[in-house]
Formats: sequence, structure tokens, C-alpha cells
Amino acid sequence: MNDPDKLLQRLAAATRSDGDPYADELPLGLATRVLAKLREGRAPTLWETFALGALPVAAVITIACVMLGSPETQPPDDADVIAQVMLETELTTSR
Amino acid sequence: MPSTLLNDIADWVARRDEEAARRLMEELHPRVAGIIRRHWTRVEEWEDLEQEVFMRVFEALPRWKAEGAPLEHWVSRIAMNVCRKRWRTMSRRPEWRWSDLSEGEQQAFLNARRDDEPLEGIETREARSLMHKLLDTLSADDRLILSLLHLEEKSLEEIAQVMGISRIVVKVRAFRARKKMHAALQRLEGEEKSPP
Repeated sequence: MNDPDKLLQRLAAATRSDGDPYADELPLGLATRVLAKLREGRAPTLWETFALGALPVAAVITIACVMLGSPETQPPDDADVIAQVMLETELTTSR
Repeated sequence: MPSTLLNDIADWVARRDEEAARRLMEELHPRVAGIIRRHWTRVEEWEDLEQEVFMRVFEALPRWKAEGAPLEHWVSRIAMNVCRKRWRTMSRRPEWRWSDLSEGEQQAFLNARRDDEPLEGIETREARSLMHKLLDTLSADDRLILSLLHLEEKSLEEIAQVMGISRIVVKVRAFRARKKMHAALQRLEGEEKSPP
């Protein structure tokens, strides 16, 4: 085969030289769309401001609920205590 | 750089002057469009890519002067990185077979192999399509390196700056990526000469 690098260079040269009218004029409406998106991104909406501000509060409430709901923070109820005693008693008498 | 361009940049940065932004887009469009056209084959996505490039340019324009790069280079870097980001979303093609190529691409291959006259006219369009098919088989970073090297004709130093890696790494990756391209071209030639 011809040197593959030469072939690659020739394909690259052809790619570089490929002209296209797209490059000459800014497509219709493109500038307007870009500016509209930039305006959208400029200031947060009222909803976004509220949502972002509420996030720390929601996080604190979630953590508090998790901690209060954890078994270690709850005193065992009567049923648990009785079950534990029965298990221990059975083991003792089975010896 | 023309002073009008600097004034438009200053007007956008200071007051987000939209007329200044429009003039900047008209000024930069040929460069941005040329890069997108050379590096992305799907015509229907060119405008979308260009929109993304300009969004990033205008958002980052307040930082341009501090970075110290010429505006055209800085904008080119943004355009190439937008293309790289889009390449990463594509699934890589493992390889192309001779029968996968269109007739035009096959003819462009044969004409390029003849090594006498440069490709012209419609052949350049087919050669571009073939080149992109071959680049599709590379990773996004390898594709960026070879695209900058062969299609944008950037130096190793410039490529290293665009990618934020050392010149040595660029050189090694370029060598390996070129070897893959050579292997792909040799495979195509083998299939062309001896069809399965």
C-alpha cells in the first residue's frame, strides 16, 4: 500500500479544504436564540430562589426525623422487654 | 484585533449589551462554524453546537482577558471542547469495513491513494465524510488530538494547552492514534483489493 500516513494527510487536506456556505453567514435566528438563553440564565426565577432557600431547612428537618426515628434514641417498649426476658429465661432453664 | 471588537466585548461584559453581542457573533461565526463543520458530520446539529459554543463564549467572556490568550484561539478552544463533549456522548464505532462506505467515500479513498492530484470539488465532501468515519473509531480525547493536529494544523504545544496535558503526552497519544488510523486505512485497502 502507499504510505498510510500520506493517505491520511491527503484525506485531512481534502477535509480542510472542503468549503461550505454555512460558514459565511450567521444562521437566521441563531443570535436571537443565544441571547434569549443568556437572558434566561441571568437571574433565577422566583421559584428557584424559594426552592434553593428552602433546601437547608429541608435538610435539617430530614436529619432530625432520622435521628428521632432511630431505634437507639427510642426507649424499648414493653413487648420488646418481655420478649427479651422470655428468651433469657428459656436459655437459663434449658441448661 | 480591531478596536471595534474590543469595544463590543467591553460593552457585553459591562452592560450585557445585546447589540454588541450580535456583532461579536457575526464576527466570530466563520471561525466557529468552520471548526464545527470540520469536526462534526451531522449537518442538522451544526446550529445546535454553534449555539452551545456562543453560550459558553458569552458566559466566560468576563474571564477572557485574564487568561491572556488571543480571542480567536480562546474561542477556538471553546468550540473544540464543545465538540469533544459531544463526541463523548456518542458510542464509538469499532471499525469500518469497505462495504460500509458509500460509493463516494470509496472513490475518495481510491483517489486519495493515487497520490497525484489533490482532491477537489465533491471529492472533498466525500473525503471529509470518510475522515470522520475513521475518527469515529477513536476515543474522544484521541479524536481531539488528531483533529487539532491534522484538521486545525495546531502544534503539539497548542494542543497541550487546549487539553491541559503535557506536550509529551500529546505526542505519545498522537502517535498511537495515528497508528490506529493507519491500521484502519490498511484494512480498508485490503478489503478493497480482496473483497470477502
